[in-house]
Amino acid sequence: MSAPDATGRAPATVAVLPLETGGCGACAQSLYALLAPRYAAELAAQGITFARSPRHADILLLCGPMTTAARAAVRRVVEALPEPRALVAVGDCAITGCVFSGSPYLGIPPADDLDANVEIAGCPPSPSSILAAIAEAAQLLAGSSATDAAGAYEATDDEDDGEEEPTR
Amino acid sequence: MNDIFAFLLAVLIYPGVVVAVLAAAALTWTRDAGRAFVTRATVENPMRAIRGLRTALDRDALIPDGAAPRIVGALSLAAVILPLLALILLPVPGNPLVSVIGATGDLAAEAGLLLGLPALRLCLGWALPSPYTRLAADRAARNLAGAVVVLALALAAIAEQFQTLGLNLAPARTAPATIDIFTRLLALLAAAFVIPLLARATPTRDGAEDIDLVAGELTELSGADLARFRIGEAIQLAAIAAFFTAVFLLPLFPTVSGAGRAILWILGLLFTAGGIGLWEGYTGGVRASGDRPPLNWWLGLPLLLALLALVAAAWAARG
Repeated sequence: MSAPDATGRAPATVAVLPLETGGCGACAQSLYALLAPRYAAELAAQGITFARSPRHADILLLCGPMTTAARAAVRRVVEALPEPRALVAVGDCAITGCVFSGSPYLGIPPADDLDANVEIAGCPPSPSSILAAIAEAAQLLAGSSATDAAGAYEATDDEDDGEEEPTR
Repeated sequence: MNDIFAFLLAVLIYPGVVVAVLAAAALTWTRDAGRAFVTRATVENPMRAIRGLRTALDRDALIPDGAAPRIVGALSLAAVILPLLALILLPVPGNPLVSVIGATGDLAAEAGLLLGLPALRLCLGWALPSPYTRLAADRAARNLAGAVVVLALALAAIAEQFQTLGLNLAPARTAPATIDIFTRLLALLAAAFVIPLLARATPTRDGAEDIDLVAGELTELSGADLARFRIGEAIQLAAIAAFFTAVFLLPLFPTVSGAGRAILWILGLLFTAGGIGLWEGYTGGVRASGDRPPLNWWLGLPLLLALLALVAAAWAARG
């Protein structure tokens, strides 16, 4: 684990890798909305970029429930991320399975199976909520939170207005 | 100043490690600014990039199964050393190796050192057991093959002009003939096409301008190995800019001396780095020929310019 920044700030840049583990794709769409010009300034200000390879990523965003078919591949991707790393479970499916829970094709939700550091609820969560969760994960990487801290954010409004505040 | 002190000064301070790193940071920012100007993106704060590299050095260096860690480590170390050597051996103004040891530089040696980093990336791409890195390496090899031919011809034209493979950067007493200026301009234009390829920084982040391949030769690298390659690429940019300025730009203004020559040096470095950034932003990546073979118009044009430069140089030598 790298030494945290002297002021406890987040790392200079954080590279984020989104990973679909199953599901309907709404969380992924919400996540990729962050690539729109609307969020470019905020991403640049927080030093958040999207990595192309797990080797280059600091934070892994897990979208969707964990299908049994995807489990082995997802584990390989997680192992490919070098330490220090943080896992963010994005959306209700990643936390509880949501509408898919009980399906015979699903295993334990990624948040529990992979011991995610940050969870953000919502179906799907808004892009700004996801951004806040990434920032929280970046803070964890910097060591400014306790090692086992897990923040649960509830999207107060499933409509994407981009203005809601994350709540704990 | 004795030889050992001069050598240490050249390697550690100027134009060695300290100045190389500062120049690399400044010119990388210049390139990013050039690219951002075209793509209308924001320019990353250079201090943030430096902090990012420092953080990357602390991260785990995972080596994929089937790859030898020592080889990967050696390649990444060489990726820093080769462009640094190219910079140290360039007879830039004030280089202690020039004033004390009488080093004159060598076109062939400099070109070889500058081709080192791209070649190391190819080796790494092929050495790693990953289809992505090998695909990237195959394509980079095709592009590099085209670039080497053009660069060799352009350098041959310059060598023919000055009747030496050495690098004489001292100002000339008399103005050159028009045919000489024309020859040097053609060589500059030809080299300008291949310089962005030699100074390519492997994209590791998603960006609108980098959508071509999932990743490059550095896909499987992490931690200190990746950080060393990124540092090497930054120093390579500084070395390329200095080489291009010394070999192709300054000969266009051979009689300028003193403060004017110093200004030309600085402008040349900034122009080269900024120009590379503008080009990268315009073409959406430095992979000029994409997946196509190198023998297309994109190689044809610089190849034609280089051949014309060679012909013009031979004509000038006759005259």
